[in-house]
Amino acid sequence: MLKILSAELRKIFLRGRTYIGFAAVAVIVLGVELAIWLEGSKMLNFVTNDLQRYFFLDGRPINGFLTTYMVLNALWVHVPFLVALVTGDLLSGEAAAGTFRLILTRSAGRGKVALAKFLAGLVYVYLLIALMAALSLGLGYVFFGSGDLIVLKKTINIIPPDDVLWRFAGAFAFGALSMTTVAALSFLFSTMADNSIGPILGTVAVIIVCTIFSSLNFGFFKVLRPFLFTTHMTGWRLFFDFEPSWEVVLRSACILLAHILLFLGISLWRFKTKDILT
Amino acid sequence: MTAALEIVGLKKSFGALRAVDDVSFSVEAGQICGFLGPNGAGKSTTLRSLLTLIFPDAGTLMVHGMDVFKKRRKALARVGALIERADFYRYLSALDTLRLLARYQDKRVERTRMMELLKWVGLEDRAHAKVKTFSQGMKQRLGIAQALLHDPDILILDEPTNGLDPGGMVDMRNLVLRLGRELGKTILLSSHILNEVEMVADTMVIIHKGRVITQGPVQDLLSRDAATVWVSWQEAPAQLLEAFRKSLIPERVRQLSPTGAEFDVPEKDIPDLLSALLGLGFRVTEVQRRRSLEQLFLKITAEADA
Repeated sequence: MLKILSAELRKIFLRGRTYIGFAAVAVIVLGVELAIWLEGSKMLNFVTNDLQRYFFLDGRPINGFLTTYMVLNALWVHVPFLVALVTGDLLSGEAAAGTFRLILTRSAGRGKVALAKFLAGLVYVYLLIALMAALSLGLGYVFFGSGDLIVLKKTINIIPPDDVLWRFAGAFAFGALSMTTVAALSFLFSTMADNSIGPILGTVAVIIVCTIFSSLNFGFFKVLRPFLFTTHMTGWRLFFDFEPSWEVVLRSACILLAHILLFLGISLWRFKTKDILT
Repeated sequence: MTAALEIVGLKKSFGALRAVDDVSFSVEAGQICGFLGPNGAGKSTTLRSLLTLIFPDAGTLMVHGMDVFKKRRKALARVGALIERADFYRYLSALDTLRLLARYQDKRVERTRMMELLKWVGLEDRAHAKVKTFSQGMKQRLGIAQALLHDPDILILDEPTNGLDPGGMVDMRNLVLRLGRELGKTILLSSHILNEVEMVADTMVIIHKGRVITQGPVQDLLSRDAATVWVSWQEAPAQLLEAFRKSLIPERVRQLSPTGAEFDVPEKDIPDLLSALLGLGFRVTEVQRRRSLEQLFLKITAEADA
């Protein structure tokens, strides 16, 4: 299994498309930092206008933690697309290139090959998230320094610097779980297609549609909402509540995990019974 | 003795299309077996089933007595394959391609073996060149190298000359002959180029519309039916040609000229034909058997269609 995993990692990291994801994350982080550097004060004044009538905001409200928090919002659509770019191509790319004929006519079983591909895809996903965390926290600290993190939710949460790092660790870890769900979904689509465009676009389309359904809080959608993975993909935000509800965090994580197992299970079954015709 | 490859009652449909219908044949160890059929006859479906790329609807496929689906790992460890056009990872070199593919099999392969294989197929100078710079002929040769990577005793080659120029086809043919004759591999060689199979195969199986329509040793099959023979002679005078026309031989003539004629005769009757020609006074200079497998193939497929 390790031999196949190393081969799959080699394939992923020798391809140019993989580095589009890393470059895009760097651009996203730098873009957010630049935007905050140029417009951050205006933005903060606008958001905290009411608050400033009654309170005096001391210290450095625009800081590296705020920029990192804003970067985390890319986990909604941008990063899923970058994830699908690689994981949606894991199986369909081999089908399109005709290289299944090389690897599936050897003694390694299909299940092992598929699992190794998925795990290799996850290595890419976690490196992407790690890069995002390192760049946003690192550059944020260098450019804007440290300070209280002001988060606007139903309440305005002001989190002191000594209480914020574990929250980011939790948020990025949860983000990694969300992106694993996206990876499993695009991997599933990848078993159904013989080109990589379909799985990539299919994944993004499903995320957009399900995100819309997740936001409709009435009738049938209200019943459906708790079971949609997109409802729980934003679970990383729970870490920025004053007192995060661990029960809710755990429930969201379990639902994402159930989706991952479901998508992966169907993928493996589908791949193991699929006729290779390309 | 167990056959190296054995297929019994293979059936496979794609929707309403019956691609393979009750195909059965076997290949003995050490033989080169030509697997012939027109495009769409079911050759690739059969070979892909044998390699577990396609799941058949019915039938048993065995490698040295092992069911390829029940004992896939052990069975495929003894088989190397080049299926249709050789497609590779364009961003890898030839050596890296072999290194990478070696990880998908149980048997450990040393770098020296990889280099030996590249040398064997004439690619040692291009070991570190990216595959994207290779011609189709070079890719096909790399395809043979990857098929031999784990030193299998059976090779399944599906249309290995596809996309090759005439020079490349000759190279590939020689490679196949060396694999069979020098290395003693059992080879199942699929092709729709009859001439290619005729030159290398010991036995052959002809498949048409998903069914095996004939099989056996190449020489037996060729001698069973009429062969086309071209006989050249020194320019014959008009009266000799006239005598020829009045003889019994013209019934078998496909074309006639003052310097030769083409005949349809069973291979066993060729000596009698030559005696008759010499008896008539023709000064025979050359005898050539032509397009015999092609004729046999066309005849058999026409019979199957009828």
